[in-house]
Amino acid sequence: MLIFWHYFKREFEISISQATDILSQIGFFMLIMVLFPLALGPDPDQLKQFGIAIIWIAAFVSIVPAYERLFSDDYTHGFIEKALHNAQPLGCYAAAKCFCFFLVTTVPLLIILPVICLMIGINSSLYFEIALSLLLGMLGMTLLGGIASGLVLGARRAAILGAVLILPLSLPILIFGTMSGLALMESEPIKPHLYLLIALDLCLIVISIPAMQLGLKNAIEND
Amino acid sequence: MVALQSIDDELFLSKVSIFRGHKLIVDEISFRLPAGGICLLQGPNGAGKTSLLRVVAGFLPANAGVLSLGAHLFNPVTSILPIWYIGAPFGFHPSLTAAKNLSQIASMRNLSLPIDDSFHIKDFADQPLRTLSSGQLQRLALSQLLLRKDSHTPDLWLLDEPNSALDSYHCLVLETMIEEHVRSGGRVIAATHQPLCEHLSPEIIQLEARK
Repeated sequence: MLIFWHYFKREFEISISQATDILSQIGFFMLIMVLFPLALGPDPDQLKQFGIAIIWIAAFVSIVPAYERLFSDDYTHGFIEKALHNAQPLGCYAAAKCFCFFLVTTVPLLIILPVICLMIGINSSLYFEIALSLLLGMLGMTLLGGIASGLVLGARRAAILGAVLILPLSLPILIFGTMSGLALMESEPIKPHLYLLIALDLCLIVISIPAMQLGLKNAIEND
Repeated sequence: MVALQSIDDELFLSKVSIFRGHKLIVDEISFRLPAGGICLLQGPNGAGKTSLLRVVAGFLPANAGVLSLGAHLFNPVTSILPIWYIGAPFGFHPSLTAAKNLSQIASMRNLSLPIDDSFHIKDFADQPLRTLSSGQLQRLALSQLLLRKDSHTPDLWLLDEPNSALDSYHCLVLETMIEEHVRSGGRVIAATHQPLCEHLSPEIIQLEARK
């Protein structure tokens, strides 16, 4: 557990020193959110109807390119090899990395979410439910991103290959996530959808850590 | 099984062969490295020095041959023998300072700062890593070997061109450091083009470049 914390601290320090990466990702998210109303027209009812789906798609599309840099920096700088000698499985490093990545990418997203809700005319009283489902969805996405990023590490055109791998796998998260939002808009219970998202996240936690470990090991061996 | 292994056992590489792609680059190399031993890998570029070091470090699997410590198979990643692989890329993050990088490595390996500053890293401790010269980077990387630990388990040092970018003063520091390490029972395998620790009469493994 202590080593997890050390890895997490390292990741956090690196993320802070590279804050422009986070800012550009949030900027990208905002831009997509601005483009949709312009393309769909200013009808508030229509925006409300598509709003949740647009938020989810914008969040996915803005985050997917970032997964490429999840492990690639450490790989090129030789840190993953170093982590191999730390007497702890590489999965511990990968889990800490994903958790930090999840926090530094999702928290800014949730901070600007009220503005986005206002922009597309979603009632601000629904903010916490939307934020919660997005939080669960992004956790699952990060773990999927971790698996794909570990798998394509060291490959040519890893970024596009990773995106092609992640997006089809993210469909269940997208479906349950947007369904929770739609249920919210129609004042139906959203708990079942949130439980499904939690179940998906738990499954992914179990699968992703050994998968990332194997991916990283494989990348080192093929270096 | 691991508990039966002794840290003082001999490290033995038996007929290790390595392929990269479809090309044989190391062909049936064997050598022994007792505690307190030093071994130099020499040979032209492309002779497989780094690959052989990476096999001993556990980064690459050997395509044939056996690594053993005493009477047991040697698995570098789970072995009781602590390993330091010092070779480019050094595993530092370019946006953090030299001191930060070093303290992170120390906390991850459960070692403590401050170190004995033989490599004078205080001169550039607060500079981001991307601003350092290759000699300074090498000094920082070698400083990891000076991190203090509580136990007295002698480590295995795998050094890939440790003195390629060092000035003559720091080359001497490195030699002294290796000498102290070897005298206290540590082991060193170094790949190098320049002479290193000749007064300790290291075992020299000559690797050949294959066409």
